[in-house]
Amino acid sequence: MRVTATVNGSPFSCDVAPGERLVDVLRAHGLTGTKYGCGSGECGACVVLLDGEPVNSCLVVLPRIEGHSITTIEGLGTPSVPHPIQEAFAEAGAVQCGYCTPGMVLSAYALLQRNPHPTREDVAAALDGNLCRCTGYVKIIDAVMMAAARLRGEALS
Amino acid sequence: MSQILPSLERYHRPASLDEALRILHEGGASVMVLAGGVSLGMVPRRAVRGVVSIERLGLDAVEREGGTLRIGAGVTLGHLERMLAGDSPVERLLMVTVRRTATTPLRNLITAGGVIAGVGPWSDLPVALLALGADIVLNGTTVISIERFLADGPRSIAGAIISEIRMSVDGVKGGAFIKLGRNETDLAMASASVVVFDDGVQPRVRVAIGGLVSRPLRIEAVEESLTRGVIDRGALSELLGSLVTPRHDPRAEAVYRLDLAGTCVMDCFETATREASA
Ligand SMILES: Cc1cc2nc3c(=O)[nH]c(=O)nc-3n(C[C@H](O)[C@H](O)[C@H](O)COP(=O)(O)OP(=O)(O)OC[C@H]3O[C@@H](n4cnc5c(N)ncnc54)[C@H](O)[C@@H]3O)c2cc1C
Ligand code: FES
Ligand code: FES
Repeated sequence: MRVTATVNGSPFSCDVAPGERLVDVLRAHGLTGTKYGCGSGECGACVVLLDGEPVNSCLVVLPRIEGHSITTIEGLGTPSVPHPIQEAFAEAGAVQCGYCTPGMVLSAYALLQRNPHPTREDVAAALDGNLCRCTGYVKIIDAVMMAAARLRGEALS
Repeated sequence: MSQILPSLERYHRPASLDEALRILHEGGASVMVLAGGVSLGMVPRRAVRGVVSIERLGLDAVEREGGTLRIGAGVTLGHLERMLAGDSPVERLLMVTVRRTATTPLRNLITAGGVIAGVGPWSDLPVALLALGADIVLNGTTVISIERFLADGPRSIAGAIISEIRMSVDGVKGGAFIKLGRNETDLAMASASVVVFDDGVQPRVRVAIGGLVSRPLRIEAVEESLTRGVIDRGALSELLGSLVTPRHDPRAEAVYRLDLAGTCVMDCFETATREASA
């Protein structure tokens, strides 16, 4: 069936079997920043934004995005012009293997859109669906707090 | 690419409840209602050839009308969390329960109706709704109590669409929900919700537990003992043990679940009565 949506601000349409997962279709279209981990909603590697809210794209069948807007990590920043959250992740040492990072960054982005002044507890709660097997989370929370301060235009002490 | 539903041939997006019900009726057992779709990854699916999405049915409002709170079945738990106000005991209880359900990205998919229709031992919101004495509305017209739905099981509503969840906020003075798992986002090994009602005549409590058996249960014998103030933690777990035979699996033994449930009920009772007398 034909599905039409907006992906990273551009019109997107494709013909798929109705049972295809969003994560697979995005990756097949070159948006490989979205990762596939557990396939069952438990790890958050596949998180993308659906109308601005983080969702597990491994559990979304493609027809569900008809008429909606999807943002993947590629829609946030590029290697030459990274988003401040991506910069903060790199600077804070919040990335090791990097497999969880796109999902983490998108979950953090959704949080900061709604709450520019999060506490560390708010950040931990917002990232509760994103597992990281490498970093131990402290640096990830540091990175989101750093990005929040920068996005508010505050100098970091 | 691996399809989540390889047998799926048709994805229906009807714009009215009547149309959705007609498709469900014509499709029989091979067509299922699709809400958040989260359960598709959790259980092996039977041969589902068609799904009926509830997305365009207009079941996405949260409304307060007189003394009634109405939640559309298609409201995601994420949206519900953002819509609930912390100024009434009912909404505070729902907020606490929703925040303890799954994870942030999952809550943006899971719907209020889906969490009821897909009820299991893991279910959180149905525990609080049972303690609140909520009703569910089927097909926009038929009202049944969640207590009856949970007693009869999801098969009892096969072919129907849950359109709304509604509950009275009048007379609810306090409420609590507690869930214990291996970590913050784990499924419940045991959970409980206690609600204190006072209509000016006689305060009473309703108690529901989750995680122990296949669906949340109301425990009326415990309600009486709690109201009369004649039960302590140990006796409570013992009484629960005489009323239910909990599941036993590698995550938690039956006797451990009973112990946890007793603790959940007692702590909920203390929190709810504190709120009611504040
Ligand atoms: C990783 C993971 C973690 C989870 N953690 C929790 C947790 O902590 N707490 C918890 O309570 N649950 C948890 N769940 C379970 C989840 O809440 C259920 O799977 C729930 O049923 C999903 O709701 P949905 O809206 O996605 O429904 P769907 O998956 O779309 O549907 C579920 C079932 O209900 C039927 N259905 C859906 N909506 C309606 C309706 N309006 N009318 C009639 N039938 C309908 C469908 O046909 C299907 O049979 C978790 C699930 C996963 C995968
Ligand atoms: S791949 Fe989707 S949550 Fe793990
Ligand atoms: S950096 Fe490796 S999983 Fe998070």
